[in-house]
Amino acid sequence: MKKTYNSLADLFGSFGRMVWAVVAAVVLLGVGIGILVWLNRDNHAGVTVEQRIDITPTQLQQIRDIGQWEFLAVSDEELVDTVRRGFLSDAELVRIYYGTLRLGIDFSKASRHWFRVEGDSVVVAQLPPVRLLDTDFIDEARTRSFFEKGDWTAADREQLYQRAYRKMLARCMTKENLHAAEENAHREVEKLLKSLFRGEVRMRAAASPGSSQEGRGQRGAGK
Amino acid sequence: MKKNPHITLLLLAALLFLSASCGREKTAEPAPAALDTIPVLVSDVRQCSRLYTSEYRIHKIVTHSDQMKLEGTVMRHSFSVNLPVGERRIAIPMTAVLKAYVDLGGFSEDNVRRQGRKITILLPDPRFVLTATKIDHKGVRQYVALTRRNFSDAELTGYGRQGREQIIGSIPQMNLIETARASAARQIVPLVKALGYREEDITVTFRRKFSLNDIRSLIDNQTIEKRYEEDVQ
Repeated sequence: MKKTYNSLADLFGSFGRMVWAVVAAVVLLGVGIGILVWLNRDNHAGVTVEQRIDITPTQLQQIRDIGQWEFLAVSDEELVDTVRRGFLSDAELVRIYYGTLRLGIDFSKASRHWFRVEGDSVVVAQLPPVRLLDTDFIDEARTRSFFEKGDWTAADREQLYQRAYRKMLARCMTKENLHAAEENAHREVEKLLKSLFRGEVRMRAAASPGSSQEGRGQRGAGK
Repeated sequence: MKKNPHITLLLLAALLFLSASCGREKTAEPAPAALDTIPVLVSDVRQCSRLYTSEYRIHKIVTHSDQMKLEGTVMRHSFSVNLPVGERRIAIPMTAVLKAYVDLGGFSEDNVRRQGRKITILLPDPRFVLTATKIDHKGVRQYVALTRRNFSDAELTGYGRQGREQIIGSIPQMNLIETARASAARQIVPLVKALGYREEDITVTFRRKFSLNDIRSLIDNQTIEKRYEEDVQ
């Protein structure tokens, strides 16, 4: 049945209501979408793995007196790598090790009479040889992994540590460094003795210059 | 004389070709120099005068366990769900060597006071330095579920560094200052005694009173050297 409109005003009135209804629906839809977008704007999801270590106790195992006088410290970084040939591809591990070699005089291993007072007015000092103070000089916990491909075992990592150890020894225990340490030892000991003693201080050459390297690699790779 | 346009064009083309090729020769970059594959090495040599007086051996077992989680936010609500893909656990034993020292680099007559036969020595503030750490690779124990990958080398070294930071952070609780100052005095007193002073006439003094707050405020994880101060009379 065909609807008839009594007047032009009725026609436009009906059309207007339809338009308003459509506009209202569109606005409502827009508001709804806006609310949904606002609610979901911070949406995110991802797989995470905790990388922090647990808090565990730190045990003080041993305390001991030492008498080590350091005169030269050589800080070193060594890049050490290893490659394992494989059938399909090679495995490779590259690490950076950090260490500090300390050169000086270990009084626990030196003669007690390295200096003497003569006539209450003169101190004569003959320094013990300068040596590597501690064979533990790598800060392994600071080690950085530079590159890794393939699986590696604890034994492989221990081997890398030993190689870094030998490289640091070879690089830092040089004649130049030992000589610099001996010269500095001479200066510093003389300065201390002059500060403590009012009389004359006479310094003599180290007991046996050649023996300065006796501390070299005592533990070394055998650790 | 009438010019032939074809010959002119040919000459121009040849000139352009020549100039282009000459220019290319001139601007051609030199062949890249061969890369040096020798590992980058850095060494720093520092002259100093430090008297190490005591050594502390520290043991720590670094442990870590991780569970894969699906985490996120939906409609402003956070969620975290453990994924049933298995867990990984690892225990890394490590030892550290910590040493106490007094820096004698600036020691001079200003640090010594004499009154008749008595002598007072003002020592610099004691310091602590972590000189070495070692990971017991043979003692490392780990469990990895079949569905998970092994611990990577980067993860292992990362756990080592965190363990090292924990050791440094626990130094104040170890109450090492007492042993450090006593040990420093034990090293210095025989030296002064050998110069002719009687033991009862020797006094070793540090700069100022030490308190727990001093330690906390003076800890610097970057330098790894810890500075403590105290009076010893």
